[in-house]
Amino acid sequence: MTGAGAVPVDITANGEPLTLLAGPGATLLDLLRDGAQMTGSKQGCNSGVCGACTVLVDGKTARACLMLAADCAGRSVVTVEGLDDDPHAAALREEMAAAGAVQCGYCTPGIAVALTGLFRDAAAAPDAETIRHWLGGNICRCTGYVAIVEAAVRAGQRSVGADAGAQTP
Amino acid sequence: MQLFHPTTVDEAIGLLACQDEARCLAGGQTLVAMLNLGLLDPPALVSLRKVAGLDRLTRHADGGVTMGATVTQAALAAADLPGALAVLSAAAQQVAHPAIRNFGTVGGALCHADPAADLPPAFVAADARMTAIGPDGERSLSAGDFFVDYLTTALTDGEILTEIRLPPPPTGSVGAYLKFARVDGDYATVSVAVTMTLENGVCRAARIVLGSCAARPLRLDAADAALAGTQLDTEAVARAGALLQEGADPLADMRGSAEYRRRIIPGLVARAVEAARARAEAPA
Repeated sequence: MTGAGAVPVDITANGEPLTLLAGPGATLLDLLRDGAQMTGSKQGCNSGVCGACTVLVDGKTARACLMLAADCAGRSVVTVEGLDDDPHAAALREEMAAAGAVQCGYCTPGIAVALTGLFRDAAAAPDAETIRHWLGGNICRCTGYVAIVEAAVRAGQRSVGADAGAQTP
Repeated sequence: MQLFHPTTVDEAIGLLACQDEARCLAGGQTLVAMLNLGLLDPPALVSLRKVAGLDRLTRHADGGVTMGATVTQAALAAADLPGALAVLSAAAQQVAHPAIRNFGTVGGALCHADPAADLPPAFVAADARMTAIGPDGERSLSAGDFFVDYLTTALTDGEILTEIRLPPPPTGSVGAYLKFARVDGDYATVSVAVTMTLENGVCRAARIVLGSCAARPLRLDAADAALAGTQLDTEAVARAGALLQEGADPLADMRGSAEYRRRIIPGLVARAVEAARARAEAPA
């Protein structure tokens, strides 16, 4: 989003410092998709309900569609593209693929980022109930969630095993 | 639309004063959704993100708490506040979803004054005092007087809610928040915020506040009085529930008809009172 009234915004996206032009009313999601060409984060409802645009902002899960781009100066953002080297996300990716937890795929980046936030911040090996609560804000209209939750439980257990020597919760 | 980043409250007030129809931007979790949906198109936004000190939650030695307007809902949810003030953390834990609570602010949710939202009834139940600063100086008003109508507060043009003060919770006080919603994270169909002070099993004072049952959080002196002096027996709790049911004037919307909402009020009031009492009986 450029044009009249656009302002430069300095952010760090997936570790890379960027200066991007944000038009009036542009959101962080617009900035990432149209400015940085990072199209992994999806636009679903554009009103904070569906979770398809979930990213990490300064380490916390966030709705990219609910942050004004021009209000994000100085913030550090991680999108699904930035999870390649994350061990939690790697385990999650494999478990989701194995479980058939991905169908159309539109919600998947938001779910992967939300779960990575959960693994990093709140619970390395969360139980199914914790995962269901955490994913309450991520809508998937294909899978019925069961495969996603099961994959997330296994991914958490794997990463704890890798970190701490085969502990299970 | 211009976006300003003041660093002091005075600077923010100055910016609001010289921009007709300017709005404050706090966490943006409702405001940006409204911009995206075309429901709002203000000429200017005054971001409170860089205003020093507004994101501070302070616990005083006497048990009272002061929180700045931009304390996040996640911070309040994690705060584990004592006694009656537990109603605030309990309500914050039920606001939407984790990603929303990480950036959504207490002050933003209160100023939006959505009667179906979680924080307004909880802050009325906790007897909060709101500090507003505007071009004419500072004033303090009760949470009960702060909420005026649907999406309308007592703030005047150019005023900013800067902080919320919670009185020290009395000894033996407890708080609980119960939300009935269609799905996890939704706005309330009906919610009940309760604070009570108990002494040897007798309720000395109570505040029951309903969400999503009127244009603003609904509290009735008669319903609170119905619990005071009782041992919270079934009849007393039913009387309070019936009074609130009678006083409710809920909207009909996709979350329930007005009749449905009215019908579930007494049962939810009873459950919320029981949840609060159970906290009193739980070992500290």
